[in-house]
Amino acid sequence: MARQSPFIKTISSIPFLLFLFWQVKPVDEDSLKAWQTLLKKYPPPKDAKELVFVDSIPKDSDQEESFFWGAKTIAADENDNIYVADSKAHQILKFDRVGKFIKRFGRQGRAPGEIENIWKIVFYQGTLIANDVGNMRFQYYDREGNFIKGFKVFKTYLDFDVDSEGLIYAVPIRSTKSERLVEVIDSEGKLIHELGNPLDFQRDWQQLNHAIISLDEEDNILLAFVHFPIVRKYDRQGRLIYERKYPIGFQKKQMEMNYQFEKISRNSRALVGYIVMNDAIKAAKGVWIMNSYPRLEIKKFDYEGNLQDIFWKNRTQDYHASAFLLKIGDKSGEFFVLQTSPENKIEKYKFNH
Amino acid sequence: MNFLIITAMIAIPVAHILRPHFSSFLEKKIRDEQHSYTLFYKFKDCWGSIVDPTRLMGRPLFLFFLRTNNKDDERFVTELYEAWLTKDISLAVATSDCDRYKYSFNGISNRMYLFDHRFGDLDEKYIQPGHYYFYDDTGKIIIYGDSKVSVSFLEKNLSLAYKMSPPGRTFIDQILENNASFYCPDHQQGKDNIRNKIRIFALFDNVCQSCLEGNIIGYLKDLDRKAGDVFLISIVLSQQFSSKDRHNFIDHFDISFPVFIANDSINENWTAFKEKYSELLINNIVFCVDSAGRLITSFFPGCGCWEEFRKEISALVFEQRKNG
Repeated sequence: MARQSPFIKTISSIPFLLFLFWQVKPVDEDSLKAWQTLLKKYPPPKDAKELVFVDSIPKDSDQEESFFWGAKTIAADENDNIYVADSKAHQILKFDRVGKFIKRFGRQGRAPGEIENIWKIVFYQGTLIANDVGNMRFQYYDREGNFIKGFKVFKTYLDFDVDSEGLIYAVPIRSTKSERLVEVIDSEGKLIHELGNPLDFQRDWQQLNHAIISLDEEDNILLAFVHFPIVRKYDRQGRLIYERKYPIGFQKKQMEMNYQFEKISRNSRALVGYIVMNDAIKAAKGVWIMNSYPRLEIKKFDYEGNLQDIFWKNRTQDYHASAFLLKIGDKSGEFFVLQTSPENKIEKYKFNH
Repeated sequence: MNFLIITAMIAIPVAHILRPHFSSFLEKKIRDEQHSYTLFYKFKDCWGSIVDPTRLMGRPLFLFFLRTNNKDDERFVTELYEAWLTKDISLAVATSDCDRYKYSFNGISNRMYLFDHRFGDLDEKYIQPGHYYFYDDTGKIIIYGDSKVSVSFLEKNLSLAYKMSPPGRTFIDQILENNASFYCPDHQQGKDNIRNKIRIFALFDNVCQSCLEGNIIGYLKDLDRKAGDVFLISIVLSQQFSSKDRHNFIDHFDISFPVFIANDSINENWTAFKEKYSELLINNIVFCVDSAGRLITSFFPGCGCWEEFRKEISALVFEQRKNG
């Protein structure tokens, strides 16, 4: 057999190298292009207000002790101190109203007061209530992080809020189709009642019914579906007051795609549902909904479901935010947005309204 | 002070009422254990005549009584041969002369010791043909069963049973004693009935309804409803649960059999499991124990044997009802 010259060897390897290049390169480029296309296709409305970035918590110059590792959720007390639940550090970090680091408390473990993967924190009358998912319990701390009490629960709860009497309204990961969307638990862990009919899906009924919960000033329950731009309002007895759909811009497209996923999925579960809402809160007599793709957007609706304001900021392609807080004055306000990707920190934005 | 006197006035008569039950339960247990020791030591003598007895010392023993011309038994021995359990356990098969020759010829004797099936006047209860017995190194039977079970399932159970000896052995005893105190006040109607029942208890450190625990609890509730005549079912919660949590747990799952929180000594052994082996062994363990406290079968998360465990429990129900 004749020996191949080095030239022929080089030439013959080109298709292989091209193939490799073609395999590796387009992945990032495609998603980047797709994101850029979305930004153009779904621009913010003309009357939408661009957010002004002010600061971040912690700042790069701050001491290392104040940095987050896997923070997922934030809460504020009556004095506007900010608390950050870090589910990877299994700790809660406390900052003052201007973002100065004060302390961190809790540690990984199973003993009372210790934490094993924290998903959500809520303030209620000076007490911090934490959903310690790894230990399947709720734990109560004072403002200084001293453990007060805790009780076990028998479901994993995605989100919760607390009413004026201290009852916990929690959204469970449902294990059967017939389970309701919200469970009401008293401060000793006793199940009081359940409310909310799930959206009717045949296959992916579990994931597509994930929801965020918040209570308004009258203890009505606001339930925002994560994968659909749908918000429901229930009274304390569990009667549905309204269901509103907010199919605006890219969220409308995402909603359609999620419905389509459910339809065409031949497996028992869809692969993934597009996240339409990253967080929703009640404040200043309205429902505020945040989504972080393709850009950071916070929309304000009145309780009747009418769109009142859109605030936005272009961020990077890999940007993701999981929670936000709102501090509002007469003419201006501030958002504290917890960014989880590409960095993990709180971003402070100013806006006028 | 008054409270103490009143408590004592109630507690002393109750203790008197319950005492006969406890003592008969413990007496039977001791009697059964003596039988198992006798068999173990007789076997050990027999063993000594064939191999160096020091090879047996300090090692647990797996002993199977083979029936002639029984397909289940033959499969069982072949599977044992092919997938021998753990090197820390001595394996032996007691069989007829004829079968001994057959298996020696097949080379099986390279991995297990074959013995003549003649043990004199031993209680037949402890040498049922077609059954296996697993002894700890002191001669206590810690698990037994018949050849219908698959060896791979048995292997998983054995590994847990082996880990329980000690401190596991005392662990089960502690749970049974604690358990008895929960059963007696609720089941005044038939102490004898209780004594002869098979005990199933599940240990939970965390309980999540949509997880494996939820399945186990659902299964136990169903079993209690359908086979309450065969089993005494209970749940042991770790000290992670307060008494309020226990009440909420019972309410939430609507449980009608006893649920109790591990006392300090159980908790200590439970934690020792975790430290010695893994986190897996602190949640979702289910033990099935006969009336003498011997482990019949078990389930734990790492074994991946939930279906096999359920099949074995079903077989037990059938066997118990058949035998009246």
